[in-house]
Amino acid sequence: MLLEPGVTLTTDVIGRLERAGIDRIFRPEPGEDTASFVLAARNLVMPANSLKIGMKVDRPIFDSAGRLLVEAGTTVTDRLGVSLERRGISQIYVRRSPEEMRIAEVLAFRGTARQEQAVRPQPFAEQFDRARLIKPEDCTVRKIDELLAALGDMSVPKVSEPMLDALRRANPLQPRPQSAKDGMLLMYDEAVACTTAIFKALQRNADVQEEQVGQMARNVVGGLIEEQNLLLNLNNVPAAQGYLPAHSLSVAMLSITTATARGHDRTAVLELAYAGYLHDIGMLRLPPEVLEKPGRLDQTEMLQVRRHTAYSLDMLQRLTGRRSGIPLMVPIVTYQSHERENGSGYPKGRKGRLIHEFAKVVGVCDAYQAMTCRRPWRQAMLPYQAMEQIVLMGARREFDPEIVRSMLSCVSLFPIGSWVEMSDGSRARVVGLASSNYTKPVVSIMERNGQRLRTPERVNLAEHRDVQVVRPLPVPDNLVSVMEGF
Amino acid sequence: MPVRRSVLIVEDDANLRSVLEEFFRSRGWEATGAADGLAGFRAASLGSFDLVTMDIMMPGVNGVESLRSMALTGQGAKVVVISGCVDDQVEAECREAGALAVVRKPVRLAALGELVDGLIPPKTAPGSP
Repeated sequence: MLLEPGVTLTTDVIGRLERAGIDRIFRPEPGEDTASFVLAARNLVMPANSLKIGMKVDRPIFDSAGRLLVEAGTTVTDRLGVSLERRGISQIYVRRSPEEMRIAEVLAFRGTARQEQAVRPQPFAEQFDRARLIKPEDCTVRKIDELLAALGDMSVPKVSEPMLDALRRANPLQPRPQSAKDGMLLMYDEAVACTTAIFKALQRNADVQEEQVGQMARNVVGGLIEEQNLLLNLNNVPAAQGYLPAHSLSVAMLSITTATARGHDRTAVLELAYAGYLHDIGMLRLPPEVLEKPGRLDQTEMLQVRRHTAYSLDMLQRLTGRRSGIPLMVPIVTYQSHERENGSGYPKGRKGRLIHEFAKVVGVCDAYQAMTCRRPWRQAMLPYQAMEQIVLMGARREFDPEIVRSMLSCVSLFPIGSWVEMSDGSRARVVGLASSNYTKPVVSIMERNGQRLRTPERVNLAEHRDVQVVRPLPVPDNLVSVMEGF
Repeated sequence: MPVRRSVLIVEDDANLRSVLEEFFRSRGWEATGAADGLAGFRAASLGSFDLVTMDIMMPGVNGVESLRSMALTGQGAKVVVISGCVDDQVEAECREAGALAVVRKPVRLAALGELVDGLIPPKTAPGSP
């Protein structure tokens, strides 16, 4: 059995099936028992007397218990008929060819009872600051350079109510209700599907309704308000289709969490969700042979990649809508998120004080998120390994250490959702953070002595010094849902 | 029964590292060694130490970077830098990254012992006099 009754078919579940090479799944009718379902799904049921003497059997034939009666290639003899009759076998089971199997397409499963109980986060109702909008046609390199030069102070002012005050802040020591987990997964699934559609349109150079992007940003911020840790855990959902849509969503989710921890206000966080979401769209314009190249890029290819920040601005001009513009934060972040604190970034090689604060936030989150994904030229890093790199880059001043600290304060050094081995041999999942020591998060013990625990046990490592993390672990193969342990 | 204090010794010179480990153990500490800045940061992240002694010039991740990484992740251990080449700028960087003292090599063990006892007095178990 691949899926227990009641499992929601979310992107992560489908992605896991697809990676296992499973493209079709089979579902019993309500009330049908599993054994007879499997037998009937695999076999055609026929009366035993349909076997005629002299017939050549081209497929194996079984009895109702699944025992082999006749091998493929056997010719039916009189003796076989007598033998079946003597054993009281009236029905035989002929193995179906794959085409004849009862097929239920994966997507036909969407809309199970569990989904109806899911509690989706409410979209965030805040509006953009009308004084901080820019017309899409003004998103040009020249104009943004002028605007940045006029800005002077690159930090984002904190004007309205801090987003921190709006968060529900679920206690990380308490398990989250299934309805909330399902709601977040559904929100995420829809967001991935919608992002994929928006990005495809941008790639075709088609116009995209700006309101669609704004709605996505509101949905993601709604998720942050309801369930910050579950939102961060969505970054562990393996991308089922394409790298950029899921990556962009992850960057938006991580960026708004980081900015919230920095005390930014509701409007700024909403604008950042929008900006994080679109920060790399220029990548859509790069040829696949460069994007997917398995080896090191040569100098020409590198220059091409570096040009994507300008392409991103170009593509922002394809956003159309009723409003008088898009948040100014969007082109600024898009243009500057690949700059680095020590001047080693691109497109301008600007140093720290000349880089916009939110471009730094997106830059750190983008780098972290990219490291955790498999790319054609390298394996994925474990979340801990990626976070360790980010910390070292902060220590070397490639990233602003204060931004790295803010990200750590939400995600922890053993990032939320990652798997770890504990000093007592148990296996656990990081589910939250309840102290200012970012190396001692809250974990759910999932497995002890090789046995999966029916109810995971929560431990705040900041308070229980007798048990420690020993090493990071990869995601186990038998994970049913990405939300397990939360 | 006193509770043992714990120290992480980050030092790429294997001889000096083992001398320091022995020295701390002889004074009742639980001592762990790490051979470079990255190993030191990892050991500090996984464990819980009262004290970290940190060399500065090390291959790969140097002592200042290792200290900054520990500070970024909110670790609470007290830090003493033990190094042969610390100018004013490096000393300022070390202190900014949380170092409470800088000890220059060659190390005088008796003075080091006094320094660390002052920073982390021997512990006593709850309830003992």
